[in-house]
Amino acid sequence: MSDVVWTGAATANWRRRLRRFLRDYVTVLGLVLFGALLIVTTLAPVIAPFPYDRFAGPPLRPPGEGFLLGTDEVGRDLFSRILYAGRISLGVGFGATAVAVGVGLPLGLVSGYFGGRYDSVIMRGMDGLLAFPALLLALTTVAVLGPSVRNIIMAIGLVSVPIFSRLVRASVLAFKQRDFVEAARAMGAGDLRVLTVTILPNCLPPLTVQFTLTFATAVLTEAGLSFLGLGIRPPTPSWGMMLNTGRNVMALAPLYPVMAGAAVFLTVLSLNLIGDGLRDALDPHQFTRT
Amino acid sequence: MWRSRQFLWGVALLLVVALAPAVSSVSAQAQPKRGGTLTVGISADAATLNPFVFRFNVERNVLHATHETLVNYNLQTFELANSGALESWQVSRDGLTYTLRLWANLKFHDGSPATADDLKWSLEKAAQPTSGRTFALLTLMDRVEVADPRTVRVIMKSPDGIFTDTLVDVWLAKKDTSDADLATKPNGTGPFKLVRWDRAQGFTLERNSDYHVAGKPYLERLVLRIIPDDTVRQIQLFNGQIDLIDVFPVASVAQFKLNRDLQVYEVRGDKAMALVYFCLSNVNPPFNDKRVRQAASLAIDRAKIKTLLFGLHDARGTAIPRTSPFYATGVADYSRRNAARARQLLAEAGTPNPEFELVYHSGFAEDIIAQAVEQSLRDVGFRVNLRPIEIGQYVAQVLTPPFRFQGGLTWIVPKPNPYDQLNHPYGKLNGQALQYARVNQGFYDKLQAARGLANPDQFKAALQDLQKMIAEDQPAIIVGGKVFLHASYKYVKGFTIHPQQRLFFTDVWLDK
Repeated sequence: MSDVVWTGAATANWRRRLRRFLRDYVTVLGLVLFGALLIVTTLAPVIAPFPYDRFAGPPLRPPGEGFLLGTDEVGRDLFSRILYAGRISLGVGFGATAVAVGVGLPLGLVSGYFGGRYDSVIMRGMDGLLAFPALLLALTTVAVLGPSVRNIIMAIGLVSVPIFSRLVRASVLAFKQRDFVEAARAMGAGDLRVLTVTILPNCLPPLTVQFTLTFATAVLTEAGLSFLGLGIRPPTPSWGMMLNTGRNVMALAPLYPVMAGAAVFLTVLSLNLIGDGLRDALDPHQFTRT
Repeated sequence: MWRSRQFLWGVALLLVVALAPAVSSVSAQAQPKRGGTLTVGISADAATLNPFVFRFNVERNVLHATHETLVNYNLQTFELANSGALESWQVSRDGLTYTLRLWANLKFHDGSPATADDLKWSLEKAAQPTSGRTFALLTLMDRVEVADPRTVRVIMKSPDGIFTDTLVDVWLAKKDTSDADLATKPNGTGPFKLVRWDRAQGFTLERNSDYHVAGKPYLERLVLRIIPDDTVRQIQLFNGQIDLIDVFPVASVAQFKLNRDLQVYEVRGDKAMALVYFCLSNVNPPFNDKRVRQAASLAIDRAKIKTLLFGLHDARGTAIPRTSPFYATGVADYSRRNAARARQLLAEAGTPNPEFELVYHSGFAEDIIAQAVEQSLRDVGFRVNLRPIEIGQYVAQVLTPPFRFQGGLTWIVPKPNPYDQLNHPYGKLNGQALQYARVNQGFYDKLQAARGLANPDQFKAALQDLQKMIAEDQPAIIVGGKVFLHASYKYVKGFTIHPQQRLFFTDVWLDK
């Protein structure tokens, strides 16, 4: 009986949240923007007029003569490179965030549910990671492991693990004493089932919000690492690397760094707008259960 | 008649009044002004100031302020000049004895006079195996004897045609100075004394009032400010925070030349001693096969690199330029791309798609060259993994045993003489990295023997034979000649660009 009531109320809640989410124009703008970025970067092999590594024309040409945004310092099509770089940036952003969730989530669950020594050890470890400036930690990790896409994902993911573990731990602490959790235990559910089936779904709303925000930060961090020369290796394009190279030729080709920077800006902005919208839509004080 | 005389005197007076400022300004321009502080933006910090073991250009440039080499080059004629620590040098007829004489009033910065004992010690130190830059060049030196307080006699084991040229790389240091002091407390006879070395920030030097050249240096202070980033260095110059920079992005040349307050110094074409150098491991795959090395050299599009670098690149595939009388004609020409032949060679070698990692120290021009090389090699079937690294890492990985690399891209600066144009890329430190001796020891035997050839025709023939060997084996690839650029404000006078990118400030003064 409680399941039927819960399901019905929960479904109504989710519909209300979705309506609230989609009613916010700024959030919808973020969705549209990110959706467009996702589509064009995914379809880069189809949309891009040139391969990203082909020397297609004279260097540092302005837009025109078949080059939508002009050419870079070795004559590659800027538009194609920005599209392909988006695949790298979004891929790294998603991968790093997934790593952070994949590691932080179970740590937070264990820490919050079992408490005691588990909590102390895990949280002190997270405090240690949080003590380092995120970019510095990512830089050091990449410098040690070497600059490859996999290592960059690991490095950026590592610095974001504490955020997710603490968030999940806080949610677990809030929910583990609730009646429905007690009820599940009373019905014979083991710790694993309680954690994964009963408590975890309730942690998803804040987790979802944090996912988008961390995604944005990861994109920015990857751009920062590439800007500093510790990111993706040439000739593979990266927005950060294009920013770094473009600033050397700003007087000759101002679009070069501007467009690379704009790509980073639009991606991070759209993700932040989505995250803010999600946070507002999933605010539990907006809804009551029946 | 009286009125005509008056008229003539009036005209003469007028002329004098009109021309006096011009004459006086010309006179003023010709007269260097003493005083002032010159601030120079340099691209990196020094790891050591030991003149016997330094490795980077930046270190050498600081040393040129605090120390003196025994001889220098005349920058117009590239002949040896006595603008270093030696007043004179003579060689005996049999070529076995050199008499080197110091200037009379040489003093170290601590006030002690520089004597023949110091010269003897410096030469012997430079000949030790730990002195990487000069050890191999002084192997024919047998012993050094003090003849009088200012003179030494260097006794050779056999005649050495490059001995006096080698003295350009031998620095005068005070006898028995420890390595630790050599590295951090420069005590030379140079025009400037080191006042402060702020790590990663810069060097502050002041005029050496005991400098042996009367009236010089003109500057009161010299500040070498470390600014690793090319763009930041450029901005600081434009903002007037620095007066002269050693390196700036090639893409900015036009911008610099349009600025009326700035002057650009450049060394081009055959006078550009610096070479873009592709160091290959001759013992590690894939370049342990001569055909793969030849294929790589033929595949590189040097003309394209010149275009990408705004013309600031000499598209040649040989260490000795074509216009040199020592250039060997009739050898394989790698300056023009031949992709078809490159593919054929790879097929003959049985490796149509050789893969390797190319390390290079990152910079705006270096990134362009590396990517252009990667692209042109990829077109013929190579699979290249580019890895930009810091210069220190490059030295550690490529130039230090056990030489764990496959390909390394950098630039080198031989001395402006044909022997060093072969010895520098294929011998010395770079030669060790190539490990070409394990492939062709005969090359090094011939290179060593060439030093002792007193007959100019025999010397020329020997160098040409060596070039033929290199053209056949391609132990390293010359990607082209690198153009050096410096820039300064126009009030900086007396600065002359050196083809080896050495910075000398002895004659510099500020017209402001």
